[in-house]
Amino acid sequence: MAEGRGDPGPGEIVLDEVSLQINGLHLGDNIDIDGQPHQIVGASKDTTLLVAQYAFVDIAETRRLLGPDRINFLMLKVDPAMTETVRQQIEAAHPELIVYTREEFARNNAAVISNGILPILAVIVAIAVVIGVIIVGLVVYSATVEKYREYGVLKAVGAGSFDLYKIVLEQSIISSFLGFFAGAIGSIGVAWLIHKIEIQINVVFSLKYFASAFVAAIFMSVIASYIPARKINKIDPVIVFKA
Amino acid sequence: MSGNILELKSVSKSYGSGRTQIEAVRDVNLEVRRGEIVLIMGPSGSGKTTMLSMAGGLLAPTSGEIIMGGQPLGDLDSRGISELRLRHVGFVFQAFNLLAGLSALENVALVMNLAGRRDSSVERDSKKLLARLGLERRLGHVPADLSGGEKQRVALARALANDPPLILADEPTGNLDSKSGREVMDMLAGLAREENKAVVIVTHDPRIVDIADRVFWLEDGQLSPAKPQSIV
Ligand SMILES: Nc1ncnc2c1ncn2[C@@H]1O[C@H](COP(=O)(O)OP(=O)(O)OP(=O)(O)O)[C@@H](O)[C@H]1O
Ligand SMILES: [Mg+2]
Repeated sequence: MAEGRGDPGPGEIVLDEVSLQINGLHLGDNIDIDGQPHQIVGASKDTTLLVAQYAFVDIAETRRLLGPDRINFLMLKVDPAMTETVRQQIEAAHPELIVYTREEFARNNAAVISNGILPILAVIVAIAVVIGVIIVGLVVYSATVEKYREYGVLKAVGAGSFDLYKIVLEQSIISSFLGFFAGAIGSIGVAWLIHKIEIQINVVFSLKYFASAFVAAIFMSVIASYIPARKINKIDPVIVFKA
Repeated sequence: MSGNILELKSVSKSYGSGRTQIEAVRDVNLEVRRGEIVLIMGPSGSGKTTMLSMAGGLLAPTSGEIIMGGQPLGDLDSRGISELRLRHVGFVFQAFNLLAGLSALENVALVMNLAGRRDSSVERDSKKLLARLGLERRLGHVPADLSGGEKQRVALARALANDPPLILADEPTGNLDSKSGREVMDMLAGLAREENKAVVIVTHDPRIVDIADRVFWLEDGQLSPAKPQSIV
């Protein structure tokens, strides 16, 4: 529990603290559930499943309001020492029910997230990295082609390959960083919008995410400068004599 | 040591192979010492640029040996050759080849930077050099805002930036009117004599013959001392 009581009676409800925050509600406020006013008596913590938050209500009242068939799961609070006994008794009395312990339930929820959503996110991130490398690569490549002759001049006057790679890498890093800052500002803006138009997603920012995006940007710069660097390596400095 | 800044020993260069093979330079021998200005003249396509590219280590000869400051280029890898170019050779091109995004001052400072100089003396020396070429009022100008003669003088300053003993110039007056061409050549000759540099100028501009100590004639890739009547 974050605040208040965790044992809602009839006409009472416990909401996740994120729901409270998103909806601008406070303990003691009243909300309607199926046309029935419920007073918020508690705020629970860590009861968010990705983008949905659990709410806790009185079982007897809910059964009366919604009818018995509309309940697909319920939670029981038991003495931790009694967990196995209670489970065996329920399974014996109601073979049609599946009983999960708190740990199993948490693991199932985590599995829903990691099996269903993480792979999609991973694919999105991978696509984003590839697109990022391509865009930075194209920017640097076209800048290289445009300055083809000037690289030839630098070579002719005695610049080493390393000097030229440094120029390419510098351009690549500058364009990645511009992308990084635009992306960072954009994501903060989108998060603000999400909050503003009250989509129920809890967006968490942490320095860690920005740091990893930053490292990814550097990594992408290095990859993106590979082809332009090879192109420069092939420039024949004799072009400087062409009028 | 021979005291020669540049030596070409029976240098030849052919392009292509089989029936399309062209022998652009044939068995050329040349020695250039400090303090002398050598002019190489010849008709278009006679191999002047090819010969100068090889002399500057930009092009490897098909056969023969090029020795720069006592160092045979054949013994160096490409990194060693560019290192040598940076300190030993200053180039002047027909097309100026200044970096368009950099000011006159930056174009000169850049090659000092490439040679590893990073301190405040770079700016001071670049300014001094440009001032000697009459460009003290053009330091911040980008090439697009300079006249042809001014561009070529910036290029001359760049060629001299690392104080190389050898200057190689390919048609340095090719893109200039005769007055500014004359100006640039007089400046080049003056600086070269003051600083005791070796200069090789490739051209088919007969108007600059008078600055040379020795004149050669290149035809069909073959080099010979110029006969006075072939100059005029
Ligand atoms: N990269 C190349 N591949 C094939 N042939 C070449 C190449 N460069 C030059 N040639 C040929 O070699 C010959 C000599 O060319 P080069 O450019 O050295 O002459 P040049 O004396 O400098 O001529 P110009 O006065 O017109 O500048 C010419 O026949 C030219 O066509
Ligand atoms: Mg030529």
